[in-house]
Amino acid sequence: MSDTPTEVEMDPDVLVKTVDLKKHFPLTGGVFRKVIGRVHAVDGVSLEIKRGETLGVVGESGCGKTTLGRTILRLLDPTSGQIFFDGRDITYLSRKELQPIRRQMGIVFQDPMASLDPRVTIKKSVGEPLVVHGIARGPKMRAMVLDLLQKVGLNEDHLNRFPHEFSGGQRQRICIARALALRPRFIVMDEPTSSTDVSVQAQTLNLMKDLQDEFHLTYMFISHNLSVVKHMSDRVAVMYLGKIVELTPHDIFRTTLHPYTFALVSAVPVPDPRFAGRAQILKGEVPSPINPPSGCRFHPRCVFADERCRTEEPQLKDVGDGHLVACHYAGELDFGRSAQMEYAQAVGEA
Amino acid sequence: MSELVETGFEERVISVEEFRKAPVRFLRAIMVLLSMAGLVFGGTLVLGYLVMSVMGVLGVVAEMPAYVSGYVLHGLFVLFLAYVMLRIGDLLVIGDTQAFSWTLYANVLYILVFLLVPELTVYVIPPCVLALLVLFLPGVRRLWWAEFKEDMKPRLKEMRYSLYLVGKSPLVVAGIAIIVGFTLVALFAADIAPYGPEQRIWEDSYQAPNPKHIWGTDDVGGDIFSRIVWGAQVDLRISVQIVVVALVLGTLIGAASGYYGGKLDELVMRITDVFFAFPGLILAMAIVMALGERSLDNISIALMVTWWPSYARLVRGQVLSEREKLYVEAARSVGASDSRILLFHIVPNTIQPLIVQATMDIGGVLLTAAGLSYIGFGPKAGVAEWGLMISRGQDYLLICPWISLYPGLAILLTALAFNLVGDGIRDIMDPKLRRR
Amino acid sequence: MKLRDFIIRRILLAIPVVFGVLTITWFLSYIVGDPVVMYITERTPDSAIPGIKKAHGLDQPLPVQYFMYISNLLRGDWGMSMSSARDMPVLEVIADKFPATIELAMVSMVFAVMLGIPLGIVSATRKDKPVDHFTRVFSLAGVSMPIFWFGLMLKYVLYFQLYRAGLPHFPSGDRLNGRVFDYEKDYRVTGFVLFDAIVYHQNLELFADGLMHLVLPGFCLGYLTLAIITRMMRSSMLEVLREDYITLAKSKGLSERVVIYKHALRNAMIPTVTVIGLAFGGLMSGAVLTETIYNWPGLGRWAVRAILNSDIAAINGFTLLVALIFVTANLIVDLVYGVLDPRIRFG
Repeated sequence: MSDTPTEVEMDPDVLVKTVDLKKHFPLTGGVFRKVIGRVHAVDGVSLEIKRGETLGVVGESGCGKTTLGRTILRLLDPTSGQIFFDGRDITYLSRKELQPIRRQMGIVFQDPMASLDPRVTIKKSVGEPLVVHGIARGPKMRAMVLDLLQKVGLNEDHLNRFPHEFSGGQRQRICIARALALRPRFIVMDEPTSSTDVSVQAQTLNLMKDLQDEFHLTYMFISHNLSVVKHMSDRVAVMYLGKIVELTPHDIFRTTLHPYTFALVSAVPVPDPRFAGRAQILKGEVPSPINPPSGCRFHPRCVFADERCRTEEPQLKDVGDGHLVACHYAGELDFGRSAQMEYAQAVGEA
Repeated sequence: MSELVETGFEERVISVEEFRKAPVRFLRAIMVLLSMAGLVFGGTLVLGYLVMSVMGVLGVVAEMPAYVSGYVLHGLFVLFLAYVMLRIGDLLVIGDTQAFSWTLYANVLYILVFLLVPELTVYVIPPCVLALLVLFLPGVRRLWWAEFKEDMKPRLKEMRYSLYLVGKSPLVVAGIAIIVGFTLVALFAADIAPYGPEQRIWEDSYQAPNPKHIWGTDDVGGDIFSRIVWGAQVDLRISVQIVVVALVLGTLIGAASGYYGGKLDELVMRITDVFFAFPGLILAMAIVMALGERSLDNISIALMVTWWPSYARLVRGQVLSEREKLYVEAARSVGASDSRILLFHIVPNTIQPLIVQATMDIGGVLLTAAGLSYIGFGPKAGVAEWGLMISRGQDYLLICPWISLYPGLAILLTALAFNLVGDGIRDIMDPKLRRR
Repeated sequence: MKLRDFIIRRILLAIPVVFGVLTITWFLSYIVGDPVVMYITERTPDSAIPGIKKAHGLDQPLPVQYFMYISNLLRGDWGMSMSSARDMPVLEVIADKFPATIELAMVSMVFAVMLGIPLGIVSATRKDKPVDHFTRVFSLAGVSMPIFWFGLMLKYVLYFQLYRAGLPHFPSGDRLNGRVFDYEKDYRVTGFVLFDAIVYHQNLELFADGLMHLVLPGFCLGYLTLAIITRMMRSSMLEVLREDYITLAKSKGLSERVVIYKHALRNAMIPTVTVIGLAFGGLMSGAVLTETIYNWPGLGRWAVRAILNSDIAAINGFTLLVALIFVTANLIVDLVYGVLDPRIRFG
């Protein structure tokens, strides 16, 4: 069910580009374990990530943002669609052909403890990419690893320890060092800070920003935390049920055009009791990605939905200055003002 | 081409040319030589065994010479080592410092294997020792020793902690003591046993335990104590041998099946299902029966065939759970190959439950092998083997109970020791008790 | 997965296993061994062998032979056993000797369950107390015990030494005291001595004698199962006792007794039930050794005699029978497990 690869014009500024990318997981059941359904984890995502920028991806858990990140890196094979990396179609490359491309991409996972092999010392974990790609072995590898560790704020004593001897923040920095080992150009950060506490979180985020400047990295930053994404990203993509509903270069807390984005933003707590209690709570649960709703996927939970939303699927279209929205009534809806906006304004005035 | 290698150790810099100098080249020459010797030895034995087996089936030769059937496992292992040595030799001269520590391991293993092949010990061990000496020449040593020491440090630390936990458990210590004791008895049987394994002192038949024969004698005047000592050799060797082969076979099959999944997995699981449909002793009985000749070798073949599925299942389950772990995906994300992920990440992480299972299985295999030999599948009457000794004694149970009593105690004690150790290390390796 | 789907799937999965079992026995006796010996005895003249081969289709190509093997088995032709007093069809011998083995296995199982479960509970609830240490060593010894030696030693002490001391003692073997009862001639109805004694003969003396004869072999055979059940019960009980709902039950002020027997035991029993089912295979292995020692006229002793006489048809039949019993036991265990513990169905 592969699409025929179409010629796509590539903007030289764009490092990563996906065209109608889909990833479905089969669901089995019954006596013979037949496929009885498909989970539409990523369902037609087209986006571009420019060189040197950070693209934030937000959404509720289960919306497919992690799957999107892994599919772009070809850790998962896409069901259909295309992935371009640096102008090259990497959608159907074999593992062997992918090998040189792997050197240019990295990933940092959500859980640093689980993403480090518990029986391997830090030196070997961080040095593994170097060994695998035949860049360095033995003492040379050690020297390079040490250099990487120092870049993320660890030292020589840490080289020969096991992951369980470190704190959560240190482990995450080790994972970052490993992702950097091959000097990649593109790194997917998959909720890198969600398993560490807030004080460490800020430290790690700043480290990532510094490294981005130092190595001219392009990030895809996946998180469910809007504030963190806002802090890190140049542009933010909002995902809902496997689709991008809004992609904005603006401050997501101030200008939102999709009702879902507005609902997400207004659910972020505000550190001031005067603005509390106004959050527009999303009604209902996220629908099942096995049978996504017809028309606009958000319509069962949207207060503005009408007949058109139920039947016709809105396309992601540019409403000007690179702000993409997938809503039939983009710009026509009055959300009112969120506590977030008022708070931001109040803080701004004070 | 004088590329410099920054070692990071005490600001020392090694030139790549140093790896091309005489001592390293000499080391490589020894490795290649040893490798060739290993290929010849291993190849002869394994091929010889295959040919002899075929000829045996065809009825050309009645009996396989002892040196062929006795050293097949050694041969296989040496073949593997020889291949590794050849690879190491090449890595040495291109400046892979890890190759030096592998040289160390490979030579030590070679020495250990060939110590068990007395006919060749004198020829093979001197080159190995020479290689080890070259490794420690100052000029060579500075190329690898610092790194080796550093790599060993965390491992030693873990090992010390494990030993500390073992020391806290008296049952495990007792089990280890018994195993070590029996192993020593088996190794030095010739020095410990006052009489030979099949020696008969007719005038001393049916004697109760007395100072001359401390555990008595059997119906043909065999000294029970001496025969138990000699039997330790036979029984320990056969149980360890069976478990090792079944373990390696099961691990390879189970790991591949769990990692690649799909049709292969389905096939392997159905095959193990079939094997699991037979109780161990009974399938082994049928296999020995089909093989025709009743001997210890056939018992061990039968038990290897019977036992591997349980390891395949265990490893497959472990691999399935490890495969989904994030660190495997992390390795894949940097482009590590399937075999590298399997060998360097998944297998080491599945090895602990495997060790526990294997340790306890040595006891179980010993019981089954002795049981088979008891019902008459074993070696010919007269051979010093514990199960056979018990069966010999049962006809005289009422007048000379000691003929059966002591070999049975030996089996019980050995099996118990392996079970104690297995049970104990399961608790010690329990992650809840460990730091991680 | 629905329970119905689970049951259907599990039964379907048993079919290839049964075929695999048939294939392995066929492979062992037709490929590795020489199948013609299944139909001949020492008394068969050599000149008759080609004729026998032809009669049984052994001159046909292997796939045809395989097909014939399976269809013969299905038609009840399992070959001739020559290890009895006279040559008999294997299936007839099995029918004749099966009850004795089952009776012995059942008694051992009852004994192992009756003792093993309480021992496991006591050991778990008094963890690291002397009782626990004793139980652990006792059960580890059971797993490490060479059955054949244990049987001999039991016989030596509890029969011979007691007999020599003039004390009441256990019989040394056989199903009944042959001088008093001739079971095969006078009493056999179903083949189960205890059952026949009560239901058909109302003969208490016969029952008591049968029971006495079952004590030593039953204990010898059941010790391994006892040890396995005790260990399983202990570890699953320990696991259950750590669960939150147990802490909750305790915090409600329920007595230790109520917590253990009402709340913990039911859940701890689930894995133990599985082990009981699987232990059946172990009992069949053990029966081979135990029956030899106690001269028990069951399948195990017949199998050993068959081995000594190189009676391939008998070994083949015995292996097949035991495997089929074992497959059925596994199937039942899995189904019971699936009903008791819904989680397994999603595995």
